Amino acid sequence: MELLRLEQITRIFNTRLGLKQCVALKNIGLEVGQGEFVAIMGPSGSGKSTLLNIIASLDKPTSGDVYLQGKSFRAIKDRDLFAFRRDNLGFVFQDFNLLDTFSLRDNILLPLVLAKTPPAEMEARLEPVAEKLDITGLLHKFPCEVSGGERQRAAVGRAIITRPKLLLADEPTGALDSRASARLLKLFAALNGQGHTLLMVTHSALAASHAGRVLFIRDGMIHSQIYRGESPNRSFYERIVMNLSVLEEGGERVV
Amino acid sequence: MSKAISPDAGRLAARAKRGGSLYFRLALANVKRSREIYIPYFLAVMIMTAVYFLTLAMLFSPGLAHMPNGETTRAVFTMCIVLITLFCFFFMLYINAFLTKRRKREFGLYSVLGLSNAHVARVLGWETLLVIAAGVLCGMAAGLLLGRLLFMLLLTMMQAAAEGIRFIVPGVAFFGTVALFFIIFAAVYVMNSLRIRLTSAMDMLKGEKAGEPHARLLAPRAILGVALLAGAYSLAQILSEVTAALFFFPLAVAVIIATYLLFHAGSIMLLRVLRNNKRVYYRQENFVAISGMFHRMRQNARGLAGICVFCTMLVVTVACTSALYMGAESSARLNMPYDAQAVLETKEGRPADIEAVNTLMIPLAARHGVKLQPATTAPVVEVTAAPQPYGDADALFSDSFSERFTIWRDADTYFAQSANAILLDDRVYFNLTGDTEKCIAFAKALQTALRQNGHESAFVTTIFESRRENYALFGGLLFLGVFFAVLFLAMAVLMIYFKQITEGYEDRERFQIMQKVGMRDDEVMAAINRQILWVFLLPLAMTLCHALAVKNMLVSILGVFGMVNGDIALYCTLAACFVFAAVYLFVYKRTAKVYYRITKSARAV
Repeated sequence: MELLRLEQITRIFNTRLGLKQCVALKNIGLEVGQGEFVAIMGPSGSGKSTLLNIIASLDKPTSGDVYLQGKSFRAIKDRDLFAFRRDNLGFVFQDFNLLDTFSLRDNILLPLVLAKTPPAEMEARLEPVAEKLDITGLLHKFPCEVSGGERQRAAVGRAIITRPKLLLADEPTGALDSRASARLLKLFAALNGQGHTLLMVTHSALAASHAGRVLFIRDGMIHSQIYRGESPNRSFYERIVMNLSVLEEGGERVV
Repeated sequence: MSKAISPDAGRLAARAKRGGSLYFRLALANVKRSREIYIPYFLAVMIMTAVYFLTLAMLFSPGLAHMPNGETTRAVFTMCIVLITLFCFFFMLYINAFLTKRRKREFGLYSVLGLSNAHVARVLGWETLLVIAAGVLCGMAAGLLLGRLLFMLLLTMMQAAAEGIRFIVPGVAFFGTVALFFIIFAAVYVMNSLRIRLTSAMDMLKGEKAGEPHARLLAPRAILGVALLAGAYSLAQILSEVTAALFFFPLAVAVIIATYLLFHAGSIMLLRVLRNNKRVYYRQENFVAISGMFHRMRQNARGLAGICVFCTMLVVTVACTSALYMGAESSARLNMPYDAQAVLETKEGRPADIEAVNTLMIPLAARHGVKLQPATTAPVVEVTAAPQPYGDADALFSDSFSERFTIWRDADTYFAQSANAILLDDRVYFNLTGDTEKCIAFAKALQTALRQNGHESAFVTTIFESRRENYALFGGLLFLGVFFAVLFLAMAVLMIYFKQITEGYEDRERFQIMQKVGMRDDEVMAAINRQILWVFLLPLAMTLCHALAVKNMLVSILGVFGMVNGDIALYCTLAACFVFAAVYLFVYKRTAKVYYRITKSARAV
């Protein structure tokens, strides 16, 4: 079942004086099905973060439109966008973006508080999430008191506690060591297994190898994409690396 | 990071490693770039310099000694110099710590660019020197300009004639000011160098994010704070005139300690209770505000308590000195129900010789150019606890005096009234109008004339002399009070400003995160607005509370100075509170704008 559809997305940035235009994305079309785990890869400046921002409704395309379960982003008023984001999307960032004034518990509960959920239900939702992320014992601590991996897991908790339709991750392993990364990716795979739809921008081929599909972007266009199919992580990883080297060398599309 | 290091800063940093003079240029570039922080820093130095310079100039001014009550004023100024010196020193260290804490990250970046810690310390040293030197120069210039004006103001307030008294700035004022700020600069430099040398680049890059240790023993400290404050307040209510002066300093210390304890432990305790109440805490409008306050109070309790103490001093000083000044007339009237009085010797319980006074003073008044006023228009004779003149007098008494005077007697009190004078036992009261000096001369002449006419021990005194003394003393005190109020206010404003800036930069990141998580722009604004408002209202509320709680004690202490009119003291306290609250809120509004400007860049998604 289709969850997310991008139609002819083009994003053009004007330089400060408006003299030069920079085309970040050109006619991107993409469909993501319910329960998919998609990784987006590409060199720096390829436009992948712009693409994620547009999907996250943080940025607006110059032309084209995004549909979530058939609902057009353009049809949503600016004022309602915050609530829309809160109710439908979950975010995981490279630098965690936890609020240092809140304990981990409160950081996770933040979106529920914003959505005016009754405290009893908050507790009921928090418990399984914390368990899933293995941070139950850390909930009373503040972000500055726990490790990077633990912070990122709390950030995942904040992203999934609203039961979003789509989970967006921007370089989630970028600030983590290899063990914490592996743990987080395993968590993503598990979440995916439980029915969450994930979209992850990453530099790391290893991180991408946990996804079901990898999208390669170069110069604002989808260069190629590969599906995992039935292959295990290891061989999928090798295919990603091969594809990446083609992408870096500027080779032609291999769909 | 607040502002990225400008491109040429990196280039300059690289070159600074090679050539020494470039430290200076790098420092100059930094000062220009960090205007938001350095302008208030400069203003702080300037204000402190001007105040210090002026106080020194007044203290050593040759004119001071010639003023009426010059010695008293000089003693007060000397005490003030000691206080200001200490204050300037510690306040500068405080601001400096504030600034370097904020810029830790930038220093870390320099290390990454290849400047060693020693180099960074040198750049920072140049920056400090530049700003302090500019501040001292401008401060002294402002002091020179304002000096004459203030001196004239002082003379006016003391109601002293300005003839022969000139304001000359003694050399020692320049020297003392420069010396003090050089010492401050040296201390700041040493502290910064130590701080930079003791931290590694990595620590600095992490900079502002480091968490604060959890406060311990909160409950006992909060309880101690409440107990101290309650004790001090209730003691202030019951003290008599004598004990009030005695207990003033211990009470002030108790209030200061209590303020600190309450701001720190008390507020954190309260917020903790709020946070543990899920129904209250997990509501959108409280959630961000309570946790933000919690975070902020742990960092700012000391600063806020400091602001509160400053402000309380300010209000109390202004209230006391203005009450004394306003009450100068009434305390002069206390001993002088009429403008002038002649005390004559009496025999065997007989009344004073009003006839003699009356005969002598009429020609003397004409000669001295003063006008005698009918004594009935004078304030009141009841002040002196005399009986009502036309009330229940029991006997008409008339003997050796002229028919023109009817003397009333009530028990042992004699009372009489003529067109110009009032008799009460051994005193003759009368009212005068005319030039102060002429009135005083007239009184002297009358005294001499009385002594020559058989009243050898006659004394004539006038309210004009007591007035002159009172205005000299209380005018000088009011001048000092306002002078210090301006100083305290300036310091409080600067502290508020620095707080707004730092908090603005901290909140900018929080803004961004909350918006990404799905909080609406106006919701974020409302939440942060509320908590900032609270943080600023707290010292204000506490200040007003302190001022009103100690007002009885102030009235008692002012009584020692001959101020008996409690109402004046009360109104002055209220007026001082009101003016202060207005100024404070105005400053808050203005500085809040800086805060909004800083966070605004984050709000545009």
